[in-house]
Amino acid sequence: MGSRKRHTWTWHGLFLLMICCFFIVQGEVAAALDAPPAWSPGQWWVVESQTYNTGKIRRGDTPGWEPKVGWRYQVEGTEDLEGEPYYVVVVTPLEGNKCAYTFRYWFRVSDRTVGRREVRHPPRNPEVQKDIGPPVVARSFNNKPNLLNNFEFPALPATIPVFSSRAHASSSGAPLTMSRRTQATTRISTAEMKDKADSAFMAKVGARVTPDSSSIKISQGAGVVESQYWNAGLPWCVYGEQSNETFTSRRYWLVDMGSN
Amino acid sequence: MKKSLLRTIIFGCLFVLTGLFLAAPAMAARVDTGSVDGIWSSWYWDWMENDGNYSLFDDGEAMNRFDILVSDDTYTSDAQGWEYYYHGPPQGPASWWGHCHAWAGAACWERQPINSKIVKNTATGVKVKFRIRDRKGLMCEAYYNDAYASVADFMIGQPSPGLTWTYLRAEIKGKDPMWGKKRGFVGELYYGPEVWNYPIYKYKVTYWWNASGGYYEGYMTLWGAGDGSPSYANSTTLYSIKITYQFWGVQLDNNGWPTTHGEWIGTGPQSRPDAIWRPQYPLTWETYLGNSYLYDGALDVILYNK
Repeated sequence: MGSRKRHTWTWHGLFLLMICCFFIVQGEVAAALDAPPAWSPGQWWVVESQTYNTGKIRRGDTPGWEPKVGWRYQVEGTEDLEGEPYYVVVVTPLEGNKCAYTFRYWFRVSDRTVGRREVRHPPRNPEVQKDIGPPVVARSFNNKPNLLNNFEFPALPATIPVFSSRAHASSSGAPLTMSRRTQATTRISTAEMKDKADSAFMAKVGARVTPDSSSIKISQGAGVVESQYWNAGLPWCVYGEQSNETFTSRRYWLVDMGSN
Repeated sequence: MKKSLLRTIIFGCLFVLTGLFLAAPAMAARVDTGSVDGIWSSWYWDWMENDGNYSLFDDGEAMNRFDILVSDDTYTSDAQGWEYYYHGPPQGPASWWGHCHAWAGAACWERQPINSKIVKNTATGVKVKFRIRDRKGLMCEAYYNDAYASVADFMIGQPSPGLTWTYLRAEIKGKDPMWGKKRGFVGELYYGPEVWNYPIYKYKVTYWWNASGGYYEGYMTLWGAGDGSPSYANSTTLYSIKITYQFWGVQLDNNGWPTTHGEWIGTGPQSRPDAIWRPQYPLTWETYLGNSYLYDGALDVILYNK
């Protein structure tokens, strides 16, 4: 009798373990996104972003969100990098945004991996101010995420998921390395997606919204997690936020889109 | 018996020596260093009145001189009054409040004023002498609103040892600088409620392998330009502050880049940096300006280096 009881409990335990494993695996193995968003030359969209002021760098500042700044993304065309086609997307600051630079990002057509970034910056008066260097500074990523890229230009949201059918690395059981990038996708309802989106934008583009919405967490390894809400009918995430271990440092909304 | 003892001693010594020989490379401390030129010292221009240190709103100091230069019969500039009200005693400042973040940003991007300059208002004929400290003071005031993430090259709160080291190598050593050549950045170097920003111009990491832990540990020393004395403002000497942190748990790749964060050792205000950051470079003196009486045209002339 006692032995049978133990036997039964062992089976119950194994069953519970299997269920736990199932959910753990579901949580950690990143689901791939089905397909990248549809982009085409001439297409543009506008993202508003906000950064969080911790109040720890300038005396007397109280912690809180800084005013929103606008960025316009426009697909300029496609170009080959190392034999693969990439979309070239120009990002320009909109009125009220104090950033003086414009950016060009090369997103691989197949999965939107960023292969290159250029920063174009206007010259200064060298008699008055220190020389900045060449007017265009490029950084190639050679298919490798760049750790520093997670922190540069914190008000500019340029991180997006890799849209690939290949499985993404899971962080389970491995030491936290700064350059390790992982992503995990959860299917969500349209209502959940809309709840995070800019309501005026949703009202404007309602007809383009498809039933296919996802919540994606991109872990940058360096303690930075980008959480984004995507809809398959829209070119960019409708809402995203960047968090580190202690606070949310940036949030952003898709607020307009169109095509030239 | 004696032979056996002798043999044991000899083999024992050989064993220890072999072990030491093999372990020596791992135990040896390594050093990683880097430095940039062009960072300059100043004074942090406190907000206190009558404390024996000069402030930007004092008579005879930068704002007062600016007002004298640009005022005429029809226009009265009050940069000094603005400064007194918004960056001075009416705000109830603590003794440490000042312009360190603004000076630190300016010291990363701007040339140090190296001499005084007499500027003439051609409309009024008024001539005003701007000393080195006045010119540095005006630069600091022009950078006052530089410490926001929305206008930052980068801004990382409570950076780990691995991340701090990565930025030191990238920017100060020039291994992967975001502007194509090495450049200083700002460190809020004291962990705690007070804010002390310094432009970092040099670092030294002394590290060694911890075989049992499987990581590197060591000391990270940062040099920042100093702002600790009012006399620094009128000098072109680079006065420095030095702070050493201790860390463990950092792994490196084959090129010497940290691959793991690691941990700082200690919990006190000098045990770790509170933030590392750098503002984007401003196109004009008004980009980060707070004081509404200062303006580009006049600042260009006063800060022009010839």
